[in-house]
Amino acid sequence: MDDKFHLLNHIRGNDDSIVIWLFNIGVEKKWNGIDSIIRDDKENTIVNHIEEINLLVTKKQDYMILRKPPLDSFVESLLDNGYEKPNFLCPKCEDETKSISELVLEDTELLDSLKKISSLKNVYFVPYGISDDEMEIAKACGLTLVGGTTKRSREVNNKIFSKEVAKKMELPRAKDFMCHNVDEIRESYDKLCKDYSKIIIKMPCNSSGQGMWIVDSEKKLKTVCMIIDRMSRTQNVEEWLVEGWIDKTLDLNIQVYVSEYGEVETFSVKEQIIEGTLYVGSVIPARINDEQYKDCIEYGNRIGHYLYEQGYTGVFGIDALVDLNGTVIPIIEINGRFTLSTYLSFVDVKYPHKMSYCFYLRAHGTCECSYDIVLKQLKNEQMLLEQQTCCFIYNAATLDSGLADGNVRLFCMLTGGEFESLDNQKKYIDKVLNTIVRGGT
Amino acid sequence: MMEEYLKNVLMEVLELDESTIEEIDNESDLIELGLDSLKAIELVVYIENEYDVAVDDDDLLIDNLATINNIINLINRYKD
Repeated sequence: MDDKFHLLNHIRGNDDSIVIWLFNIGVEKKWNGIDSIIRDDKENTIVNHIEEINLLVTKKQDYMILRKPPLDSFVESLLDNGYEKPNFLCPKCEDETKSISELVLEDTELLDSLKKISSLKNVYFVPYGISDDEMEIAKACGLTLVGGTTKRSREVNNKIFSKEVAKKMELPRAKDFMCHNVDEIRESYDKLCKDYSKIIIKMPCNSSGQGMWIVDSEKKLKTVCMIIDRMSRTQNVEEWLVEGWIDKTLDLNIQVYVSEYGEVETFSVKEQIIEGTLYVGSVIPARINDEQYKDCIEYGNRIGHYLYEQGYTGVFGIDALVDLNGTVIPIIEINGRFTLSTYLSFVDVKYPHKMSYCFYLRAHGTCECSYDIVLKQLKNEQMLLEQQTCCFIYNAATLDSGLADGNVRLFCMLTGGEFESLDNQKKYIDKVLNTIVRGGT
Repeated sequence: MMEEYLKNVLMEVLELDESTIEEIDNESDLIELGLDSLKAIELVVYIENEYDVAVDDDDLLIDNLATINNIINLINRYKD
């Protein structure tokens, strides 16, 4: 690299480097060759278009590769809320079954544009996660890739690796067993039940709640074993992680950046709202005390240095929790890539001393829905008062009812007030959204 | 019979209460009731065990499980 590039300094507006951003969500499929067992094309299409969330961290000199350019009204709202509009680059082909990186690699004009940009000074390529495809784009276009390699990313994302890190670093953690079949899983369940009220079974390469089950009864265990048996028929999963469930007061997400030069910075601690095993939102700042916050920063930095020693660089996230005694349990799992939470990490800089609740809502209906319709309705309902700082929609494309056959997803940030009041506003917005898609009054 | 079995399974997989399950008919949208790819695999294993069928990967589409009628059609295709 020409100068000492530091991604966080760039996002904070402290350098004039140019970053080419790529939101290649779903990169885990490339690492493991494992896809969801049940195919849900509409869901995949929606997920593809969460890409606009990346615009919460781009700078005006940057380039963002998107499947579709965002709506003018959405860009206007971003600018009104203090975000910056980068240059947009879009592949010609709109095939939703292909990853964004595959679309880039097939688009010679776009590759040529990237080559031209790479000849400028201090240009860096920052994808959501790194697989062979992103490495190939970087190589083909002469771009400096920020982050590790496919191999390192795949290793760091493995749930067994997370447990090994916790063990080697002697961090507080739950008891666990590695199992190779359902008989071993049943045995581990019996052992763990002596110390824990529930257990959690994880496929080592799971993501977004797929391949992860909370088991609190023999009946549930039987069902999960049936699913695992079923999965073994078509997917090559050799090991399963079975661990005790730690009762918690809240979930946390810790974001860490490791530069190419080994500088480690824990840059965000957020409270996560989880339903079952699925992430549904973030509360910023996390409702933890100073001591717990200090522990999170310390754990993040220690783990960052450890991963650097193992050859990992770039952004990673740690899912953690606070147990019933108030102790921070730092590694539930490590994500060696960006997560949706990463892009929300700088919200507190924009709204210091205020609480923000970022969440998403799903809706499905037969009536027309779009970003503009939802925005208009929220304005009518006086939800966008206070110069839009109280309610900000941070992804427009997923509100288009034409995108996934009437399935829409609203990504919203509510800022100001106590959590209970923000949560009530969330419920109200849910009603507004459902009224739009279902045509009620 | 098949409908009754499926409603019982859906009640468990989707964690629905009895009044909700009584209200749904064979064309009710199960995705609106919370069916997603995580819950769908649970539904599939129940169906395969109960009816002694093995659904091909190509048929493991959320749309094939989105209503009770769709599920019945899927099972019948394999039973035949």
